[in-house]
Amino acid sequence: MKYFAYSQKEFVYKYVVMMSDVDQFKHMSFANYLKLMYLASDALLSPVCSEYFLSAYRFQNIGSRMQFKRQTVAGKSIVIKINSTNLGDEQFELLHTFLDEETAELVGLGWQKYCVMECLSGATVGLSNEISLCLKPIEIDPNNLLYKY
Amino acid sequence: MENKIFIFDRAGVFFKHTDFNGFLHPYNYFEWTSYARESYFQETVPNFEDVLNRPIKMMTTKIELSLFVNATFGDVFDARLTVSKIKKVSFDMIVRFYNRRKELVSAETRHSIVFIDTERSTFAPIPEEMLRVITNYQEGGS
Repeated sequence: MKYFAYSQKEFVYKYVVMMSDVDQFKHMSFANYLKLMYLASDALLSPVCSEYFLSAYRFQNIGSRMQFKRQTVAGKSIVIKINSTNLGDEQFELLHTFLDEETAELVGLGWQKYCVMECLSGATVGLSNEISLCLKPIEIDPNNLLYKY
Repeated sequence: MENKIFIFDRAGVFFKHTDFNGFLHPYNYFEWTSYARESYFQETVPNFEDVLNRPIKMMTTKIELSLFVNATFGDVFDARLTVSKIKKVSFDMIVRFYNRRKELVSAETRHSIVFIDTERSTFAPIPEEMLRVITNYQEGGS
């Protein structure tokens, strides 16, 4: 399903809200949206995480934020679109757009900043070709954003 | 008079909280923020559960995490909660995670809360009982 007229590529992760995700007020607890954001980021970055990579390097999350626009209930299917932005030599940012799959209504907006670190030294390293190949196709110009993340 | 800080001291790093490399996964700070917030209201607002049963509901509108230092298995935190930007229908909460073992602040979350009248679908003033409490925990100059 396409929600936008332009052909921006994005990584898409889907999730159905389960009974165990909602609280006594029948809505998904805010912390669970954050968990979902990390799950979606993991899914995007998993092709990069070879055994060799994981033995030598790690993705270090520097900061995260999220805005909540609509509440969701059990059974709702959420589509999380991820784009990359501000790709630097040693850092990158991910933008998460949470949508209700059925209505295309905006559920939330997420932002994360990462760098890559050497496991042993803790020093930041440049983004490898594999990481660039993962992020470049979904890169978006921060000046052309539909929303403020 | 100096404003108060609420301390939630039941956050600690167990194996389930660590990632592949043995560091605390940042998601846990969000979960502990929700525990700190609920403990705060439970302990400071005498009729908190009655407040929750009214049509005026509390909603988180945004949250932000800043990470300063990695934490590892066995670390224990004081989640130090304060309040800022108190307005008519909303306020912000700041939780600083002081790592007692490493003696430094590992991370900080800031989140905004708004009150909604679910019967009228409009914003609603902060319930009086909560307002009375949060003003005592407001950070100076914010």
